[in-house]
Amino acid sequence: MKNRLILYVLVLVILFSLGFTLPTDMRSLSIDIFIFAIYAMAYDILYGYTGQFSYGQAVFFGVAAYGLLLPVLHTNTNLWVSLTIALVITVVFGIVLGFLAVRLGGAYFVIITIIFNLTFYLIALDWIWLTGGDDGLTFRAPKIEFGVFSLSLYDPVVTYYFMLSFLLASYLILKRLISSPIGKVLIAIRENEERAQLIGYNVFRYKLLAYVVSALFTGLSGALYSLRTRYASADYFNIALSVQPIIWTLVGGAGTLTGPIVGVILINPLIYYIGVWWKHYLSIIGALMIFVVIYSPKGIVGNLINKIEKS
Amino acid sequence: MKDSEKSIIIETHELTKSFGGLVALNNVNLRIPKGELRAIIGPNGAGKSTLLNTITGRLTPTSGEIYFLGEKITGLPPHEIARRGIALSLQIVQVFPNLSVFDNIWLGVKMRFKTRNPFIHWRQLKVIEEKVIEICKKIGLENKIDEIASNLSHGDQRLLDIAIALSTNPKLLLLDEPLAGLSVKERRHVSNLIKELSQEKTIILIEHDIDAVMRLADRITVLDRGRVIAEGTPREISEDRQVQEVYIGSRE
Ligand SMILES: Nc1ncnc2c1ncn2[C@@H]1O[C@H](COP(=O)(O)OP(=O)(O)O)[C@@H](O)[C@H]1O
Ligand SMILES: [Mg+2]
Repeated sequence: MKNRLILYVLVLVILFSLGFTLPTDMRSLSIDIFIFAIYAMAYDILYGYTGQFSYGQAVFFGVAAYGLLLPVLHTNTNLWVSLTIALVITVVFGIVLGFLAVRLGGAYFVIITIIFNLTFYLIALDWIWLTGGDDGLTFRAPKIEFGVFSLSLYDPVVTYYFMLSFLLASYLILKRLISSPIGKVLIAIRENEERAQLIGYNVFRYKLLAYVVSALFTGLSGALYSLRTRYASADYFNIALSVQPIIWTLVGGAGTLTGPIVGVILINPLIYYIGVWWKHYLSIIGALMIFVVIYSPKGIVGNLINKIEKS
Repeated sequence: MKDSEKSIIIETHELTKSFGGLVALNNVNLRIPKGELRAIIGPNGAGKSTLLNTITGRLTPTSGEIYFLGEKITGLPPHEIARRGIALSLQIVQVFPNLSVFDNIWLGVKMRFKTRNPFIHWRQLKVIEEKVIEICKKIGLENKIDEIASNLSHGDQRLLDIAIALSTNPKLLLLDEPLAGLSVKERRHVSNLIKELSQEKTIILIEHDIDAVMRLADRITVLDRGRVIAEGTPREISEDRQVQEVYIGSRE
């Protein structure tokens, strides 16, 4: 318990001091990692904790990216309002798509999430008047306003702490969720859906809840990403973006919450540094995945927890 | 309402379930009073498991009705039937494999409690923890409370399965072949446990072990090819000609 507290404080101190000491390129990479870590955790709630294997989370990433971009672009709404709009829209989509996907359930769940993803991608490509299609749309990032006080997202140091705070807040909220009775029931559903139902749990409701929570945090990640890049395009719905959280989660450890973050920390630097000069960088990720699946099937953090529990 | 009517806990009325052309349950009428231990016997494929599956809502009957405590429950989803007080331990053991014994039982106990703050840390619900430990002791799993369910022996998994069913504090407990696959020692433990549980709960017990059935049951219903062919006390059943032919005779 005490060790854990020390660990938390240590991590916080490191994260905080890195903000003003890192060189520009690594700071930029860290910002990406913070944003994608939220996406990774969101996926863990859905797959790692509830056992729902989605292959189409990019839908919510893209919806929220545009949910933030469009109000800013067309009506010049401030940051908090546009972020709220983005998240509300994502939740609405989460409820509607979740209702259909969870109802179908089982193997159909995977298939329908792929279909959703392809549909949204094609629509985004096609509705150029709305999305800018393949070329996308750029916008000016609104200021971060707290009353009279305001900060600019054009300052990378500000962006670093801004994104870090969202990551920490998301972690705390999701940690709280999975440590609550609701979290326990989600795990029970992953373990044995029929048994959970037979002792009185409305499995559909809990699965839908996990789906919507996952959509919400995926959306947060997408909205923050568009804010960071001041841009969104149909590519934000690319199915490749739906594969990423699967990789992060499997490599880091499904059902551990921190595992998928570790997955992002391991994989994204590869993409960032190797991807620029070697276009076959994906093969490294593939090799890494095969290695993890063979030598530590519960993922890196999953394996670590196992070892600690056994000792 | 007559006195005898009031004390009926579960009743099926012309319950029929067919799978395509196969009639697994054929106009089954059951009336089980509160507190009884009713055994259901019959050869393999007689429809015994199907009966429990329709009662618990896992299968929807083709026709007929099911009443629990006088209320119609036909067609309700399984979780609602469970919440009304019917628990099932399936023929094939069903536990939460990667969770501890404690967590397995905790989930059942939790179902009964509404928490005001849904985001409370699960470890803060002390009332539930006490109940979990109580059930563990009652079942005889108190020494294995922190073990992971999938590491338990088959016998202990069966005990855990029954414990999960009990943890919801059901009014009616359905047990589908709880002694199957157990060692002699485990059989004795489980059948003693069933005897003990029958003091406080209504139980429907499906079991192939005739000696155990004769010892435990208040009354026995015999199913054959989806039909009830006999019903009575263990003594009446053991003397029934038709039953001997269909069921007991076939053992020899
Ligand atoms: N889900 C199902 N689909 C099709 N047939 C089934 C199903 N469940 C049971 N049956 C059939 O119904 C009959 C009764 O099965 P069951 O209730 O399991 O018998 P018992 O438990 O008495 O051995 C069997 O012939 C079985 O093959
Ligand atoms: Mg059976």
